[in-house]
Amino acid sequence: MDLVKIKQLLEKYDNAETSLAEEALLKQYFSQKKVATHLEVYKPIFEYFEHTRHQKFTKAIQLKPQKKKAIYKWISIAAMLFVMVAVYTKSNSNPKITTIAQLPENDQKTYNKTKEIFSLIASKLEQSSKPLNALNLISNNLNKGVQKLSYVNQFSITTQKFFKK
Amino acid sequence: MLQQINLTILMTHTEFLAIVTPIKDKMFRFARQLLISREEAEDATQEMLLKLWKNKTKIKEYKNLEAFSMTMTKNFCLDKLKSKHTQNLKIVHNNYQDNEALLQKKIELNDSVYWVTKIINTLPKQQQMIVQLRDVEHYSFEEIAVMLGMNETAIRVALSRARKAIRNTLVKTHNYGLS
Repeated sequence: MDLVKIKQLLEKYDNAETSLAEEALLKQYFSQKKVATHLEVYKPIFEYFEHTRHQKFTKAIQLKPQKKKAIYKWISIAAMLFVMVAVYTKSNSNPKITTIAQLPENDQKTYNKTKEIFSLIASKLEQSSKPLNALNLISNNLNKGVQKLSYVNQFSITTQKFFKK
Repeated sequence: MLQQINLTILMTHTEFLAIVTPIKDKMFRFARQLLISREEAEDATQEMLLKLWKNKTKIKEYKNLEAFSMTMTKNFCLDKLKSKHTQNLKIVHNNYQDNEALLQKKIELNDSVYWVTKIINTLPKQQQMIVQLRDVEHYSFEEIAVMLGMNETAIRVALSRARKAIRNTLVKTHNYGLS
């Protein structure tokens, strides 16, 4: 294609007066490897257009609205309700039983048994603490003995003094 | 008459995809020109397709589905950009580094194409859209006028400005054509 025509077309192109067919001619010219040096500035522009034209929408088309977010919302609401109900029933069931008489019979029986066992243990403990008293006494006496021993010590010190003299 | 109504109501998936497939890439490219990031353009295109699908009973009433889709994409993207501008943190659009463009640049070593992308992205949005529709998608001026709701003369003026601006900036940045 002769350069004069290309130049004319480019001038029209810059003024946005070219038709689509003329622009196609220009595109064809600038898709060549070699273009006239003084027109080289147009080459990347047309390359860019061509390059951009080949971009494709590659994602799969989804025609159903994404409901993920909505589902999460409902799950969180359900979880919150569940927690609230759980806390409510729990805090309600506790104050209902305030005395042993209100407990079911089985529970009362076990309660009484445990009570008995505990009192038994307590009495045994008391019994076994009596011999401990005797030990206490012994240790008291021992302490007294030790005090007496100190007298003996003092005595021996003075007797030694006598011997030295 | 009754049959026709049935047809429009019973539009299937495949039918819809057949209608929409030639348009979807154009919508995607248009959205990408405006939103820059690939992910956002994909989301926008997806949204547009979904909107069309929801209105599928009306699709056959539209005289020019393609122009309608492009207008819809334009409005959607401009709204998106506007809402981003009103946000205090402009993280997404302006500071967004398009990884793919960088990658492509490395692969092709085609620095100048990358530069043209950058230059076009600095143009006013309206000029960007016109360049995209004319030079990339090869639409006629009448079609562009319908899509953008402008008259043809205004489009020509803006396009001329844009083309000259691209060329001049390219000359400045690359010292082209100083012979």
